[in-house]
Amino acid sequence: MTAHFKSHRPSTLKEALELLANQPLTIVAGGTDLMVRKRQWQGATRRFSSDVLFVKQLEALNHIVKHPGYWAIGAGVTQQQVVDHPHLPAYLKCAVSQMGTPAIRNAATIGGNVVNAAHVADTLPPLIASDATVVLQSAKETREMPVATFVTGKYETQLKPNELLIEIRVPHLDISHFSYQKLGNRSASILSKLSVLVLWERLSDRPQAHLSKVRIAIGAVDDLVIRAPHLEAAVDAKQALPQILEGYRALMHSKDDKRSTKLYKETVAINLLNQFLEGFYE
Amino acid sequence: MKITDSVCRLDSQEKIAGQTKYIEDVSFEGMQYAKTLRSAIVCGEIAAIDYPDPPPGITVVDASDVLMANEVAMILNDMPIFADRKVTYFGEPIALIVGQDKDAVLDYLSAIRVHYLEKPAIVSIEAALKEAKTDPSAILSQHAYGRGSFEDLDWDMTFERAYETGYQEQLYMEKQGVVATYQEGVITVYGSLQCPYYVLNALKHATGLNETQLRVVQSPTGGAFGGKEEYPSLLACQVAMAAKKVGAPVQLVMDRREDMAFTTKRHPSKILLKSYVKDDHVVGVDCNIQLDAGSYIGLSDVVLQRAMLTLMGCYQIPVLRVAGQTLRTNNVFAGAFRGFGAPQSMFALELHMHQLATALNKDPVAFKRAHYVHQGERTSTGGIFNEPIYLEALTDQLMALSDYEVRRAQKGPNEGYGFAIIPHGGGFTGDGEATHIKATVKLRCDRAQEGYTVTILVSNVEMGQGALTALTKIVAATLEIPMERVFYQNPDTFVSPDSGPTVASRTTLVVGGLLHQGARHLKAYLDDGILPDPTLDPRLGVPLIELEHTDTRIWVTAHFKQPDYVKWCQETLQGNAYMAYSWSAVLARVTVDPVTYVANCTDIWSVYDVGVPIDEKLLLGQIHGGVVQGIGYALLEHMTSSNGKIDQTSFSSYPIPTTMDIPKMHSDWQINRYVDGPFGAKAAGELTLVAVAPAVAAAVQDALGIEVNTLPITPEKIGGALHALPTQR
Amino acid sequence: MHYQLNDKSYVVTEDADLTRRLLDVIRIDHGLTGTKEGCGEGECGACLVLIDGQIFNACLVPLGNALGCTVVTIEHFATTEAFRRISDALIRCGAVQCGYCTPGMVMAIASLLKSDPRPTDLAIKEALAGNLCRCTGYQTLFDAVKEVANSDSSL
Repeated sequence: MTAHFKSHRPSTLKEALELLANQPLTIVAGGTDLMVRKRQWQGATRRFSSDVLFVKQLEALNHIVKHPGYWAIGAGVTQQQVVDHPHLPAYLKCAVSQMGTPAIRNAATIGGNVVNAAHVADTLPPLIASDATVVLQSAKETREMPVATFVTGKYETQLKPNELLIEIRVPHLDISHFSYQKLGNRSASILSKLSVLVLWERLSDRPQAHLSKVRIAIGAVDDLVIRAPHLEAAVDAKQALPQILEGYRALMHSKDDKRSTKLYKETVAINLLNQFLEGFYE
Repeated sequence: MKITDSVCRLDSQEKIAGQTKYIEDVSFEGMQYAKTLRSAIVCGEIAAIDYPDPPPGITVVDASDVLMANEVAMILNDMPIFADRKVTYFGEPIALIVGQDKDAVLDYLSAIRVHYLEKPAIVSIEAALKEAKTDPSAILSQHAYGRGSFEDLDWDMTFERAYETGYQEQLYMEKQGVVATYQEGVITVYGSLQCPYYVLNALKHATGLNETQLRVVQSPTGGAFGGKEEYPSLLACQVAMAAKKVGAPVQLVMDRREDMAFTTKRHPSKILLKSYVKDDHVVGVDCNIQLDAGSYIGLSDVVLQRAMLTLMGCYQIPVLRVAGQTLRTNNVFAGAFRGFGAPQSMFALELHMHQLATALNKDPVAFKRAHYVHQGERTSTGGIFNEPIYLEALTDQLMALSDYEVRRAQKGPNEGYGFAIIPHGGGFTGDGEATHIKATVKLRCDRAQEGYTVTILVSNVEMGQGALTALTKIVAATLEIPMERVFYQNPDTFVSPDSGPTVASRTTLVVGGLLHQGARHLKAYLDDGILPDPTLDPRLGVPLIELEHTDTRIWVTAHFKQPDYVKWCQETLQGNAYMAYSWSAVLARVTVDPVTYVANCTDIWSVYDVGVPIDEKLLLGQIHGGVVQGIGYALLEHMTSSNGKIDQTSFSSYPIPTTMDIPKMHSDWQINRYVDGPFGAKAAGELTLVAVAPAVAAAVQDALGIEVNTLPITPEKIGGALHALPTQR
Repeated sequence: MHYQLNDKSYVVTEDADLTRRLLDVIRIDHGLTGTKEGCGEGECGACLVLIDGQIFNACLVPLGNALGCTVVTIEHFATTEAFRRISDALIRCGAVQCGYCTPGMVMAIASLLKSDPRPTDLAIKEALAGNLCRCTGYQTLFDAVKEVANSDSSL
């Protein structure tokens, strides 16, 4: 049986955007998420309600370039390319290196993980912690917005039907330290139950370790990554730890699911944060 | 060759190169594909089914197409092949939609409308027990046995705990799959399965045809672990009806999510244990075991019996009362899985003994040691432990292997050690081998110029456990010829005799034992022209060994005879529950992260008594595989059911151990020759899984000083238990 | 539009459904059944193939993403010297039981040893973390990888 939809595989970004301008399309990048969601009996045709646009082949989406002020990462760059890159920020590489499996990382793209906007997407905490932005392009216009604004809910983004996510821009941060902890239901090849990322600068001219420029992102606990600049500022100002933890706890609205419980995810996220911060409070 | 020679598996090469043809890899001329129409509700009546007119090439196969009886013959015949008027669990098969074009099959399937009258469902053991007050049939089966009297018992304290275990999915890498063909009046079923004759018997019952009109051929089986014991009988009956109706080969290979949601799993259990203690010694145990069977009994009663009969474990307990029930619920059908009831009951008993020792302020190892059974003593069912029992030696070996004393003395915070020791009876319970199975094996010897070759004909399958290699080795070593001259015929009911199912750790012990006997007589005939004793066995009506020959061929047939010391009464559950016990002792080391509550099993030390191992490499394969499956059962594999529907139906939501989740495994064994086993061998297959979970659970308790009495021990449960303690935080 | 599979190039027509899984193309169109479907969602690794020398889950790769690439399945890899050495080590170490995960495991091992000829224990575990095996408990697989890695010449 022939499919009820057409597959489009343009060779340039321009062609891709023109196709998008004319009709709604299902966009396929690495396929690691979409092929599972559209899973079908072995050998049977996948069922799409619109035509399909392949973008993995577009050279314009496959770059990692250092600009003044930010790293430009093409949306089609694979997770493994990020991990293997010698100069991309270590906190980003660390989070990406714990995603999926070696074979998945060869296929899955950075752009796909962002635009899919799963609440368990492990690229989101580092991108949101670093105030990264996305570049969205249509045949008519190009716009840029923070990842934190772009992702509006679980599997929800501001991407318009005629737009393509073409690039992610990760600002150069004046930050040299990070701590990243991801918890799933086993040690590898697993979706996050929760993750906690802390970026910070250590002021070494002081006798005691001291935190500054702290950025904290908590992933997978809620539908959206938790980031709270006012609490980060409170950490920088070394305000009382219990109140800060209280503040984070109040931001959490987790749910029980088939992998874990609300109580566990929230408690352990706070525990991890507490474990990290209390070392600097002693 | 000699039995002590280490060998490589004979089927590895073609598996590695991807040449082995599993059922999904085989294509038949004109083959059609079946997809299952399943119940969309948990419990109720089917009021009507609107089948649109099928387009050309699409066939519906349902209860009306069953040739004889719409029943899957197992022990009882309570499960239908296709649900007819009622449905009793979510996903119960109602019909097969068959066609050559999978897209057309799916289109048709989605156009069918089934109208249900939904009824309240029973989805837990508690609800089934409540139901039993008004409808006794909610208790599918029950048993009780015991010894001694609690009334006369002199005790100074009692210790009572409740234990609970969840589902475990076999998660064989190859999904369930069968193909049926109908040609020249013969229905042939090819499939990934453990028990060709179970399938044949089910087909006979369902079709009314005989064994010359029905044929079952086992295809290479990509893992089974009990999951392909009884379940393939259902699928085989379905595709047999389909192939007959369509007149073409029909393939039914389950999708992985279907397989996880709707096929058998390890029974969830609730176990209550109460110990009576006198002078720091257990003098009595009172126990009740409840299993959630799902809506049909299947093998659940047999699983319950093994859970119950194993309950005394390695201990001599003077007064014992064991009761058990299988409960009817509308949850998914539970069934066979490596260990078969023992993983549940041994988790409860071994953790209980650890907790009791802790409560008495005793070292758990020393406490358990003080209760060990000895050769010549009575089993819990009044039989005699006939064989030498090496429990002391196993424990000593384990302590030395793990450097236990030093480790315990140096134990750090959040670090714990847990010890478990368990028996596992090989073969069917009681006199099942003699009364139900009556195994027969054949050897065919073909004379040739360059020496003779021998072909093994049995119905026991290679499913990854190494049966092909082990049985070949037994025959080659008995005949003292190279293994290259011995061939194993893949089971095919047209040529293979019924040597019983590939279950209950019986393949090496029972079937290997029969092959060893047969090969010995073949050798005696080949070397010295000695013919076997022609005396008829009074029970079987044939000689135990038969030998026929032509100029070019010799056939040797061997029949199973129960050892004289095995006496069993099924009504009272009294006598020798098993012909021979294997034993396993395990020490687990666990560290628990106090921030994330994740328990990590870093090391498993384990020692075994499996008689004489047929091959050390094969045994190690069983040990490593069993330990890791046990780690999954203990810590990771959380499968739950909500309102009758399995919550975790994909590999991403049901985490089995990966390479990153396994402990360091240190293992060894004792040589304890079993007189009635081939070259002294006993059972090994299931044994290796059973003691792992209780050892890990005891280690978690040792690390944290809290009790977690349910499996699996997830971080969520540990966190919950820690926070329940007011002094902890 | 074309793709290369095991030494041969195949043309894909303009109207082809490019969302078909590479796994289905390999197994159904080409009859190469050494690549297995364990889970169909990229979790088990039984369907690993090499695409331009790197491992991919063939169950997740739409045909459209294999165009212009060279795909190698176990059938072709089995003709190489690297395969022979991995295979010998797996057999000697007793690392094959039911065999269903094995062809995919071989691909993952080959990929690891090509990029890291002397992997540490941790590197071996990480490289094989996407290949589930329910029979062996993995230990003998590690032994086999180390056996190949410790031999005189790299793959």
